[in-house]
Order: sequence, then C-alpha cells, then structure tokens
Amino acid sequence: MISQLFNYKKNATLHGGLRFTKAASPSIETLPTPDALNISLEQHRGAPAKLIVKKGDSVTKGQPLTFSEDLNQVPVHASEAGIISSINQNCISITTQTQTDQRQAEPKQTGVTISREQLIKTLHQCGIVGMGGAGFPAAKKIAALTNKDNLLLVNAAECDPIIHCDDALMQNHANEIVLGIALITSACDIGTIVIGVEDNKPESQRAIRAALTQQNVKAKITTMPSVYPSGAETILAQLCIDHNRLNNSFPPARRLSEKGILSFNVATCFAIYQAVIHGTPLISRITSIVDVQGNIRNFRVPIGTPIAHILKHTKSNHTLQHQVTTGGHMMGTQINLDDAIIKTSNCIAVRLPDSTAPAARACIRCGACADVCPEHLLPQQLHMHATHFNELSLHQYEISNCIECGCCDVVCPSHIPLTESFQTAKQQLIENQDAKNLADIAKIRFEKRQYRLANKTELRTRKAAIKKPTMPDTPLTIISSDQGQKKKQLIEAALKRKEAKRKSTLQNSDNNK
Amino acid sequence: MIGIFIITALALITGGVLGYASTWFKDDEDSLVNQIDRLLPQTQCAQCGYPGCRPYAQAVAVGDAEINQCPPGGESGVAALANLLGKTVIPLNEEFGIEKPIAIAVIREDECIGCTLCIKACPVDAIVGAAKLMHTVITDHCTGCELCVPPCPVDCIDLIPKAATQVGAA
Repeated sequence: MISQLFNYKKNATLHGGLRFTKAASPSIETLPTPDALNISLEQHRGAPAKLIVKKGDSVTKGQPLTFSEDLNQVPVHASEAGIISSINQNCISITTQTQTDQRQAEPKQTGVTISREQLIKTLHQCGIVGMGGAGFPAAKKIAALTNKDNLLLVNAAECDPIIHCDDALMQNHANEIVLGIALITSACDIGTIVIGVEDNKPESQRAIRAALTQQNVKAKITTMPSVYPSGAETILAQLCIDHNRLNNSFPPARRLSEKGILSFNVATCFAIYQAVIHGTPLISRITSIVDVQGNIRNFRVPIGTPIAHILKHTKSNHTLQHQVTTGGHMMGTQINLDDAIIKTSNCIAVRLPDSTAPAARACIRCGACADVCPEHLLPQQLHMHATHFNELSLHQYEISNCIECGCCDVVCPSHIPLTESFQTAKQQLIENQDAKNLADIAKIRFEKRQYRLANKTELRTRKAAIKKPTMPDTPLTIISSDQGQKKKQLIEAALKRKEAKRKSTLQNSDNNK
Repeated sequence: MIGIFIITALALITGGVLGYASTWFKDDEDSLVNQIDRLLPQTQCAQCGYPGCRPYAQAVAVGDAEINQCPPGGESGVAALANLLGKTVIPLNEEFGIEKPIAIAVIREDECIGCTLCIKACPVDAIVGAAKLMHTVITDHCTGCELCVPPCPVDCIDLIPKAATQVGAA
C-alpha cells in the first residue's frame, strides 16, 4: 500500500531509511471556528494535571483549564472562548462563543532575555510540549539538562513523508522560530546551535538562513538527505552532530539529554517564542491534512478541534469505509472522527483501508530489512526471536533501540508485519519487567517479615528463659513495716559507697600531682 | 631422573593450587535455589504446600517437590522451571490450585471491624491498620495470595483482578 503511494528508493548516504518524494504547498490555511472543542487532558507524556474549572464555567481564550506544579503534568488551555459544556474523565468539552473583542496580544518586549528558571516556569504554565509527535514536556527537557557544554539541536525534518507542517511553518514564520531558538540558547547558556533541514526543502532553508542573519544568531544549518526517518531524534543527531560528541560517553548514553544535547522541533521553538514574547499558551498548531487523493494541505487548527469538523471543511470526500489516521502513513495510528486535535497531532490523513495487502509469507532471510534499518538492527533476527518470544535474544539484538519507523515493513518481500511484531514484543517485555520488579519487592518484603518474625520469637524465648528462674525468688509484695527500714538501709549503703568513691578519686588525683 | 622430579614438583604445585581454589572459590550451594526462586512469582501464597516461594524453591532443588505446584506461576512458570532443570514440561497439578488472572485484595472498609487477623496473615506486610481501627491494603505491594481472605471474621476482603484496578497509571 505504502509502496504504491510513493516511489521509494534506497538511500546511499545514511544507513538504512527510505527516500520518498512528495511535495506540498507551503501556505497555511485556516478553518472556521468549530462549534465545540474537545480538549483532552492527556496531550503529553505523563499524567494529566489537576482540573481547575467546572461544568458551566465560561472561559476566555487561552485560559488554563488544569494546573500542576509537577513538570510532568502539563496544563491544557482553552483554545477558544466559550462555556464548558461537559467534563469527562479525560476530556473537557467547550461550546465556543464568538468573542466580540479580539484582543491581539502585543509583544511584551523584543530583545527580551529570560533566566533559565523563568523559562522553565513559563513553558510549563503555557503547556508547551514537544510538537514533533512524542509530546515530551518542554520544561522537563530543559530542566533535565545537566551538562556544562550543551548543544541545541533544532529538528526541522518532517517525521513522515506525508507531513509538511514544519516546512510550512519555516517558510511563514522563520523569524519567530529563530527568536525562539535565541531565547532557549540565551536562557540555558548554550553555545552551539545545529539546525537540521532536509535537502528537498531549499525554500525553508533559505528562509531560516535569512532569519538567522536578520536576528544575528549564529547557528550551523546542516543539510541532510530527505530520507525517512531522518526526523527521528536519534537519527537526526547521527546525521547532524559530529561523531566525537555523540559517542564520547562511557557507557554509551542512549538518550540525547545525557550527551548534553537539547533537541527541539521547529514547531516547539515557535511555540516557545509565542509563550515567552506574547504570553500565548499552546492553543493552536499547524497540521497537515491529507485527503483521499493524497493531496497535502497545511492548516492552523485550534487544539481540541474535532476531526469531523476538519474533514467537513477541507472537503476530503471521505466515506465511512475510509480510515482516518494521525501521525502519518508510516507510523500513524487510527483515530475516530469524534477524536480531536491534540498538541502532538502533526498530521490527519484519510485513506482507504489496506484490503489489497497480500498475506504475510515466511521470512526468506533476504536481509532487505537490515539494509533499510536506520538503527543498524537485524529485523529478521528480531522477528524470529519475537515470534518465539526469546527474551534474552531480544535484548541481545537490542529490540529497545527499534524506533518502530516501519521501513522494514515497506521493503519486506514476504509482507511480514515486522514493526507490529516488535511493538507487541516490546510491550510484552515491559510487562514482564514490571512483573519482575513487583516480584522482587514482594520477595524483599517477605524476607524482611520472616526475619522480623524469627527475631520476635527468639526475643520472646530469651525473655522467658531469663524470667523463669528469678520468678520464685522475688517476693511479689514487700511487707509495709519492713519497707521503710529497707529503703533507709539502701540509701545509707549508697551514700557510703559514694563517699568511698569520692575519697578514692581525691587520693588518685593527689597521687597524680 | 631430573624429568621425574620436575613432573612430580609440577603435579604437587598444580594440585595445591587446585585444592586451594576449590576451597576458596567454592560453588555457591544456594545458587540453584536462587535460580529457581528467581523464576517463581513471589506471590508467597503457600498454595504449593510450602510456607513461601523460597521454601518451595529449596524443595524443588533437592527434589522433594514437583515443578508443577505453583498455580500463580502458571503453565509458563512450569515451562521456565522445566527449562532450568532440564525436565519435561508437565501440566499444572490442579490439586494445588488453578491458574487465575492476577488479582489484588481490597478490604471493604465500612465492614472492617479492626481485628488485625488479616494483618498477621499477610506474607508481605501489605495490610496496614491497628486494633479496632479500619484496615486497608497497600495495593502496590499486594501479591494477591488470598491468605488474608480465610482469617477475616466478617468476610470483607474481595479479590479484584488487577487489570480492573489500574486506572491510567502513566
């Protein structure tokens, strides 16, 4: 199916990956305001923040709907003014109202500088998350940066061949993106900036270059082959950053943040600019809409816009038998028409379901999948171990490094759904690990309890052993007349002893002298 | 003659080294028990007839117990044990119980009379409470062993499948 949609050919410069050709117009269109917005509380990696509004409240555009101090719990905001019609478990519905005074937020300052703490706070309060697709909280990313010598990697590569939202953004808002980059670098004291742009986007590259000279920001623009999946963070880093920096840590760090690399998508940089300079929270984004014929258009849509509204106004001519996916053709997941745009929705695509896909046949061990794997893995081996679920071998062949890009699926001559089997295997591995962790805790608690109980019985028997012989000797009650005399005698004896001790110490000190 | 001396001396030296090594780098006698224990689910439910997972592991290691006596471990647990011990996979012995989905105990707190009997029964100290005060289960630490259910005089402990109790854990 995918191979029918695009012409792909193997790429020579980067290991693995596939080169697709697809073009779109860079203009950003807008849609009429929807009647209702469904704002999901879970638009990022992490738990949702606490609700601070209730049903029936009227909200203004950009008003926070949730709040949290925890950087993992990113708040969401009202994308349009309106009244909250209902609150479900993880979704707030707003009936929009036409606002009479369209207050356009004026830029606070132009040459603004901001401290790192202020930046983290602002980004968190404005609900900024990574907009490339993963949705990692931006404030957390900056807060996690510990190295001294940091590098900012700006991801200007699309994460899927059919997505063009970043291209459109760069051509229309290059200045804002560059200002956003300048804000991050000045706040976090970052010396090196690397911007990775694909070679099939010369206009975007020109726009960014012009903006860089205009704003007097020094950055290195790396032109990289427009190969899928070059937009994936780790692949992008391999393409843009010199190898000494990437591989100098021991043990080899897997995460970019451990190597002192801060990585942001261009859309996130734009959102950061909007948040810091205009004080605008993340309430709209640019999304590529792909219709049935495969035409790509870019729209600025408010967060929470229902998919049905978008498809209606973009005249996508979809029918009930069409599949709606988000996230692109390669890694996309199917969504319902009732779902809404979230902060990470970079693409909404409509296509016919894969009824023509040939059935999977046995692996012929041709190795085509290993040729295209951008992570240098051996998908055929992984597939074999995943079907038998051989935990040890899966770890040996580094299944955790699989970025699930789907390149191996496209080239497999036997049409084996490789990525799917890796996803299930990964999930199973995670579940097994969780169970193992719980078992370990249970074991420790059981052993500690056994130890405590053993100690207790031992103590009890020892106490009983001490008490038993003394029991008959000690009289339970002392006769009252004797009691006074006995006490006196005891006190006298104690006094005598004390006197004797005092004398002996005095003598000792005299002798010492 | 010199040759014989050299060979004898070498034999004595290597013999000494080996003897020394065998006493100093002794095989951990517990290693098999530990390996078996690691494969067990650590529910500590005592359904196998032993007072916990480790005692069962010890019994399996010395050959007193069969490998199919652990219901929480299920068929996959039996397979793992068979793989480790080089035995054939046998079906779970139903005398000791049947494989069930993982559950956790939940106390109906209104009905609890605070008798502390379940606290004493819990093998992993996952129940908190005091005499004549309400008790509750620390759900994160409950293994679903069901040992707290029979001692409860008012039958206020339910076992709820774990999948139903997890709400959006991120």
